[in-house]
Amino acid sequence: MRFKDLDPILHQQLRLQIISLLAGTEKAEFNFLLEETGASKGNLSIQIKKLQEVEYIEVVKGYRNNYPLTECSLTPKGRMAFEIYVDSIENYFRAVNKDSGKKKS
Amino acid sequence: MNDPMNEERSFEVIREMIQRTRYNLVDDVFYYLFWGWLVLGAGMIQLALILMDNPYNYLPWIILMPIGGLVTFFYSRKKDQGKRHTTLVDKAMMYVWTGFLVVLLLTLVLSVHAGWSLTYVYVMGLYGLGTFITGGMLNFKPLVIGGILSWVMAGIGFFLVSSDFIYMLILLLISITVSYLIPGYLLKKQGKHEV
Repeated sequence: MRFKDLDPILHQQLRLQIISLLAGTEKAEFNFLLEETGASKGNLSIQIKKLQEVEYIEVVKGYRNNYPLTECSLTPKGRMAFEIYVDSIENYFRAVNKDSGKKKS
Repeated sequence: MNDPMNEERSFEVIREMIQRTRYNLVDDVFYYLFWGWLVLGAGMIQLALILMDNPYNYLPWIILMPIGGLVTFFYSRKKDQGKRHTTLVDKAMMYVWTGFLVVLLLTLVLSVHAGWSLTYVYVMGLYGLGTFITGGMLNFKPLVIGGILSWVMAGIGFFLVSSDFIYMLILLLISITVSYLIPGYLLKKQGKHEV
């Protein structure tokens, strides 16, 4: 497994952070993603937009107590892409372990 | 934040982020202990009033349960105020316990026809259902065992429907102790139980 085999959309730290956070949630607010990723507002907005463009996430904008509220959730396409990405990483580790096992023997 | 990623770093990022969205059952310990003690208290006062031949022995329930409902409502509202994400477990818990509450209220309404003894059997069955599902989903065995024991109490209660009401009340007190209080204290002692 090499980098080129991994989904280039997900193989970027901040986008992978966003997708991983959303994989464990039903929906998450923009501010939650901001706090947990430690990214800047601008960078987070750009990456959210990119993920939205490829339909990996859904973004719903609304209001709560008269304050703007942005909520993100993973789409089925995004979940599938994330699962494939995780599988690829797992396969990589399996291959590495197999190789190191062969070398030892 | 924009370091080049290799497979090890990718794995680390995924692990770190998923860790931050885990559901900690210990955050719910208040509900188990609060309702455990409230129901135990109401039941024990009723038992004392019955032994004193007081015809208003049902009053502890009428007074304490609505208070419990209000406390729970305001507590959960305050607890969730700062919460900025909803996990699938949050959603599942909400459905399980909302369903529990609706069936509990229906059972209490039906008690007019079914009588209090049979109603207590259903209530014990419901306590067991709520804790059994929660314990199973969140992999916390004391809640599962408490749920099963609560069903055992309901089963015994079924055969005692025609007997003295005091027996039913004692079964209910045992049921709430094994399904809420003991798991609640075990959870508190554990300090952390994430899924």
